[in-house]
Amino acid sequence: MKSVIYFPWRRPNSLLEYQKNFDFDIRAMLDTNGVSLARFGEDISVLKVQNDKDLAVTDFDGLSENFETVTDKRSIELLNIINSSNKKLAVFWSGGIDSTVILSSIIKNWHKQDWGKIVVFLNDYSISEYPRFYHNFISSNFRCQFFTNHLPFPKIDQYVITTGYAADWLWKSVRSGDYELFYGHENCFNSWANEKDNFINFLVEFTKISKGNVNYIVERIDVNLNSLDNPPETMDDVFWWLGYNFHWQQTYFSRYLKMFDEHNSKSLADYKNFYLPWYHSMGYQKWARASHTRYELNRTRFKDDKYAAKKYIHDILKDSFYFNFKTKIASRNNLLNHRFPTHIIFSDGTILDTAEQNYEELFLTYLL
Amino acid sequence: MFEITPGHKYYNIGVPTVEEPKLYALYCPILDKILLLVNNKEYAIKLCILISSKIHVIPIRIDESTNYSVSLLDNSCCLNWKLSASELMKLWECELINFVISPTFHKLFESNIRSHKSDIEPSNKMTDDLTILIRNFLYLSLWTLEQIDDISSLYTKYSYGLISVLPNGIFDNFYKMRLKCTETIYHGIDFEQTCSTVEETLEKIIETLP
Repeated sequence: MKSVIYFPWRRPNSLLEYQKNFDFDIRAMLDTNGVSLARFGEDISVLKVQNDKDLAVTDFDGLSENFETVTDKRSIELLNIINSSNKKLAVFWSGGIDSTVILSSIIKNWHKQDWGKIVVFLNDYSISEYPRFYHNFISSNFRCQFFTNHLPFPKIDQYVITTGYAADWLWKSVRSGDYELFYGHENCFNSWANEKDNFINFLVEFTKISKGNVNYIVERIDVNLNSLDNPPETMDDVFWWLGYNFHWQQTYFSRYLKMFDEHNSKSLADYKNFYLPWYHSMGYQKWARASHTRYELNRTRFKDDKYAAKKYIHDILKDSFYFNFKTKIASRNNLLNHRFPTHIIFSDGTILDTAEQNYEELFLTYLL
Repeated sequence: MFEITPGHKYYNIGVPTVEEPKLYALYCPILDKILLLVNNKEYAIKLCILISSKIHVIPIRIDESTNYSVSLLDNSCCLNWKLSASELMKLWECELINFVISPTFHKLFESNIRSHKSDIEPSNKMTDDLTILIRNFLYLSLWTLEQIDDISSLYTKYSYGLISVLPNGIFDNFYKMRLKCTETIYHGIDFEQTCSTVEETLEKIIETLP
């Protein structure tokens, strides 16, 4: 029997209309992103964080490397992959901080003769977000390919693709906002065990899910957390962990449909070799959890947003304006239209469109 | 850090005039300061675009502020002032606060410059060297735009009535030089070097006047 490896985070509209289906929906989602996958989906790298014995929340200082080291290592890792595959590396550059880190790291860590293995995919919006870098460096050192959503993706037999998606989830937890406003900043750093009742009330209040279903969700989360070697400790850690798992998976598979429709292939193995998101690495996950625990990622000023990443860029490009004044914008929309998939993806790579009228029936047929 | 002050040739006082009765504040949300005052809408928009490679600045109609007066606010002291917090919230709401100048952004700008209709308030943020540098670039940009317009009007004056006998392409050099000036400012990091390139280019334009 094949398993579900991706289930849409946002429920399809048809499900919202039927309360009776809600429990079914939540169960599928949690199974997909949580316990089930952790048990038999070890090939899904987003869940590595659950399986790694080194991820001890209480002792991260000694275990996590800093952002600079992690990034340098990732750069070399990608170079080795490119060299062994004889493909070029397609870097989708939006002009934002995350994708600029990628190019900065390549400039720092790759020999200049290897820069010919890079093709930078960009468009007018990328340039207007960081024009100085484009005009003073990229255009004269890298081959550039203008790209819009209307153009085909780079071909799988010629390229390995990397992007800055979804680095945002390394930097923050989903708690930012409502939960903090509701219970206060300090409560976010209470232990998960002590904060669980508040969390249940929070879900009831903000999601309008029935208390019975909320209890079920929390129970499943608990099972999931307890299955980890080093479970997250505080409420903040739990939020980060949930957000990271859910959203990374969503982002990771959001490319699957588009890329592979165009290349007429539905092999997940091909997809994983073809699409290597820069921040999708164990090193970054460790760094994020370590930094997260040390409160480093809380933003209080514009310039603190993704500070470590901006510092990394500044050390290489020496651009004080970018370092001090670059603000967060949703630049992912500049380069790729970021539509989250509403399709279910199965372990054999087949896809089920939730817009199909008889999708629930099909879903069960697929599973049984 | 060298700072452009009253008396410098780039300095502009930034007050409304009879011909230009409206006043636009170039407000910087990141620094939470009014960086420059300009009494010409077209210049205000162009300055935002020219400086956008370095920092995000928003043009706000400031003369409609409840406590604005010429004696309270001009370019010699505007760094000490900011918009009220409520105005800041409105900017957040309309997502102007994080904008980037995109290739199509001017369309939105032209038709929808916001007015500040509450008090302006003192800014307690320190003014550092980088802020002064940004402001110098804004002064240089404004001065350059004015110079280009002056030269442009000279071209029009000389060519008016002669246009039918002038060979094609006689203004190409002017257009190229004008573009070079604005691109130099847009890409510039070193202020002295940028000033020197812009001024040399402007001189070359004048030398090629018909």
